[in-house]
Amino acid sequence: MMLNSLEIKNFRSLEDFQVKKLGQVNLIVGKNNCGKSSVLEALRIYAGNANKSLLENIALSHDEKYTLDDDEPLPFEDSFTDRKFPVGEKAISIGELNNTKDALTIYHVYRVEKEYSVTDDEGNTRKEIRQLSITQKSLANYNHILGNGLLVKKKDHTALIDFNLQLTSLRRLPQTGNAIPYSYIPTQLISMDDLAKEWDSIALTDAEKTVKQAMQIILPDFENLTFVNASTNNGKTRRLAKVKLKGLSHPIPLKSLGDGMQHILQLVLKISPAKGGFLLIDEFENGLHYSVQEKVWHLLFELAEKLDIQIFATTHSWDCIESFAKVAVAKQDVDGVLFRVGKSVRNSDKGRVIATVFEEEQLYNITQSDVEVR
Amino acid sequence: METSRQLLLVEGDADKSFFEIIIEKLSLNTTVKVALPKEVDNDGYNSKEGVFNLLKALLSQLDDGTFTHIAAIVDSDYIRYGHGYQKTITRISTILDPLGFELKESESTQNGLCFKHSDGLADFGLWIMPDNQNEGMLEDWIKSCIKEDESPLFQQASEAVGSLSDPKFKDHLAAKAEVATWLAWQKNPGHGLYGTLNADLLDNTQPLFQALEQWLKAIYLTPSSTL
Repeated sequence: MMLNSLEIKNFRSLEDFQVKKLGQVNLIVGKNNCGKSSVLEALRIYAGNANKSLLENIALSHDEKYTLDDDEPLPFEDSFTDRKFPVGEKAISIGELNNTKDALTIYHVYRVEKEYSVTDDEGNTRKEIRQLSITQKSLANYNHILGNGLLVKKKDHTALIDFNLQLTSLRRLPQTGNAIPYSYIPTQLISMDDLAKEWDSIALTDAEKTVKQAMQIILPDFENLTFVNASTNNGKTRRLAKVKLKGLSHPIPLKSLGDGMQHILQLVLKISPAKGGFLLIDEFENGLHYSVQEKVWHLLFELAEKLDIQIFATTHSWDCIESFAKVAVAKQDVDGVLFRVGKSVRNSDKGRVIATVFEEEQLYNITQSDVEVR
Repeated sequence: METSRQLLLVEGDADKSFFEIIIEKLSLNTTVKVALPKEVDNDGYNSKEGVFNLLKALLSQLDDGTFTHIAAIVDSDYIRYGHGYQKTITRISTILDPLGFELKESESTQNGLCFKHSDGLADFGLWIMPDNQNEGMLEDWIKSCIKEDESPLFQQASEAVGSLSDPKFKDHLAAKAEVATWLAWQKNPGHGLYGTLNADLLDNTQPLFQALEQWLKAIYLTPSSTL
């Protein structure tokens, strides 16, 4: 699974957003609040077929509404551009450029009833009332609205998230698990207990080998890693990562090597689950000293190719851009693309959020100058 | 640190330190970053083509306001070496045309060139040394702006350069050799082209000096449509 380009419509600030070319490894830059993280969110939603729990998690992370109550706004309304459900037949759409048939679309729908004439096998006709989902465009044809919901479509499959129901109905679109595997690394540290669970799930597999090799690249003295039980002040047990380093007779806690190593561990643990799909990293430079960033990029470019992963990372840091550009230019066989998210100043764009793409040749030209393009 | 959103691209380090002082003295009330490509050609010069390559990557940065104004100052160089004023215009137009920039017709190109944008981005400024017309380089511009009381010394430097029986440099580089020689004979020898400004050796009332200043002001002080 690899997206060659990206088109996002009506999703948060990304009303009409295109990235004309994506690489296997993509670095996203831009000012605060420009929509970088929305791009990662859109990719999670695309990969996860907009399943309800994912939409809930995303809404929750913004302190936005995801359950129905008596107040405005309706659940998930904040996800749409201008924080309003659109008029007409507009939908959130996430997919490749010029490829609407494979795009994932999310419509705000009204649940209404319609009377149908049904003819049975014996030729008897009777009236039957059925529920259906309509968009705002045809709302005028109905006078009784049962409720609101989201209709998710991808190819011929649909799923309805009815705000009045706890469960998703019409489960023709897989609503559990992900359509495309992906790992998401948020800006805050993932807890050691959660990392331990990830570790347990890959015990004695190739993925475990990959993690250890990756740790060794970043930390040359690294020999081995394990998670052990430790007790907390209140008597509960917690898991903690210990590493064995060359020349030391006993294992030491990973954390004693600094916060950076925990960031590295969470990154490498999240790589294998992204196999064949997306690795999404919010704020790549988090906890990584610039001297180590180049090594991490080397690792990611290599593993992206080996494990068929498409990587998307955001950053604020010029060091990160430089180290990315250096590795992208050096690794001829893996395509690296940088794009910046920002508001267009062209008259015809009227403040639209756009992507400015730098392919490897442009990246090279920029890094060969003393101009910063953050 | 807030990075400057206005750029002036030049060919090399000698030009960079020279134009940084020109801009500083202009007191534009805005920060213009003078930037150059780091690549050097076989002769050790930062190439004009390097400026064009960098320009290609940077012009798309105008779209989202990362940069608001971009201009470039390059040497015309020499027709017999495949360059010259017209060749430079043609080359740069292949980069600018697809992005919606069009050369603004003007009666006198001597006052610098301006490419208008069709969709609200700031105009792109281009100055082809020395005078947007003739063959030559920055040193030729400097030659035409030398203060009157420096003329005798410059004359001597020119004669010294001209009297070499077997110069190592090609004859089109004579202006470079003359200016460098003249600078070598100043009170504080050993400075680059910026020394002409720091030691106050140039006359800023000369037409070409005035024209360059007016052009810089026009480029950087004209707001792009939305700012």
